[in-house]
Amino acid sequence: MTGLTSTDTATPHVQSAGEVGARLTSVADLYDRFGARAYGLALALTGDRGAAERILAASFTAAWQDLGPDATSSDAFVCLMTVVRTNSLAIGRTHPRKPGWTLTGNADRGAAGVMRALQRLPERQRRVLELAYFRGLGVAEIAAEVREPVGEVKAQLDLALRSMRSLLQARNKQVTP
Amino acid sequence: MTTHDDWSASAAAYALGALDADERRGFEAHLAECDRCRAEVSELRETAAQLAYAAPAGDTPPAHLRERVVREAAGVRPIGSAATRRRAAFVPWLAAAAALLLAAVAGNAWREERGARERTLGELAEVRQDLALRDSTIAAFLGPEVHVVSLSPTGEKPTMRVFWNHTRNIFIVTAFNLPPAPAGKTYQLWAIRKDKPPLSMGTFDTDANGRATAILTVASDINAGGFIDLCGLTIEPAGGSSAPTEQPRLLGEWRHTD
Repeated sequence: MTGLTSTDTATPHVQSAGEVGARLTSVADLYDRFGARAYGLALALTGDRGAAERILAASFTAAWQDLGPDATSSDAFVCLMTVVRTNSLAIGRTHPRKPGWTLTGNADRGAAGVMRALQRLPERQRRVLELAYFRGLGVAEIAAEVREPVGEVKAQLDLALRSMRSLLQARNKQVTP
Repeated sequence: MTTHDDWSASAAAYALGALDADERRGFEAHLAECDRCRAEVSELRETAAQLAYAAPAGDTPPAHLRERVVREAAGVRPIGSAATRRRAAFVPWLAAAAALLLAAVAGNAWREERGARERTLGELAEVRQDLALRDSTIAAFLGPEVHVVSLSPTGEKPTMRVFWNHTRNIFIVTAFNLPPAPAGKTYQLWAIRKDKPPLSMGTFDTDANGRATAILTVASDINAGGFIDLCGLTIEPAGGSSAPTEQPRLLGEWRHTD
């Protein structure tokens, strides 16, 4: 649509090498690209294989409804992982489960870079980020857990995500010609 | 009015879904007004999504899951496709996910404890709807091909903005300090083109605090007409009118590129 001012906020995507730019062709294509990672996330957050399967089926349906064909792979990744995480945490709240695992990463493309970036964060930042992302805690709950003021928790989350972004971008520059 | 600097520190917590409900609503009110914060949240959401790689590998998905995913998604028509342009208004896409998920959960492993579960799931549904609308809205704000009209040219209260997400074929309407319409009435938006009758963009209502965030599917007659000059707001009988019954109470001009 021409004639209108764009407020397009598209930004460079932080994405592992080899996944940038390609466009989706079908749900099966979406699954083949990200199914294993989405399943790994759902399983990690719920600890229940049956729940992870149901979450994946519902999440792919929702993501596909939103994305449709021709969505970029980067957009699809962000959308799908956001939906899977939201649904997994919602299930997790009904069936509370403390993760019995530590952040070890996985063999997927991109995992090593994310783990390296996480490890380079100061311990305080990594801790609040893990509590927010993987346990789905709100800032007040995190503040109670780490015994810091809410404002400090927000500041640490902010620093953590922005540092992660910088670290991942620096890595992408190295691996992407 | 709060500034970018006041809110910027909350962007990461918002992107992670960690703000409490009141602060989230306040942040979203700011987000509708602040291009910089929208860009920041978009970047931070992308980064947060990468954390999926930090979860342990676990098992590989069972072989039948691929088939199930493809089968269940087969009946879904992507929102952005031409075939769905006349769908009813208000399409919170994650709400659809929530509904699907609730059906799946309720129908399976926890069936035996139905009474207690249904109460829990009912509460969960409300939470999910809330999350759903948030995620839907923010995703649509941040998508590519978004254009905006502001319906408060003077910057005075009330303020309204309408975002046109061309990829998703939706308008995202945000309103602040707009008192609820009288009983039996509703707010209705109009796409106005020079020398043409106004076309309805859809109806919405504000809450007791005068806030609204609504998602309206762009009708085919609006899409077919190309460029829109103005966007107007009227109060109409509940359900909306086919043509405006009063002069616009608020009027905004879509921004031109040249």
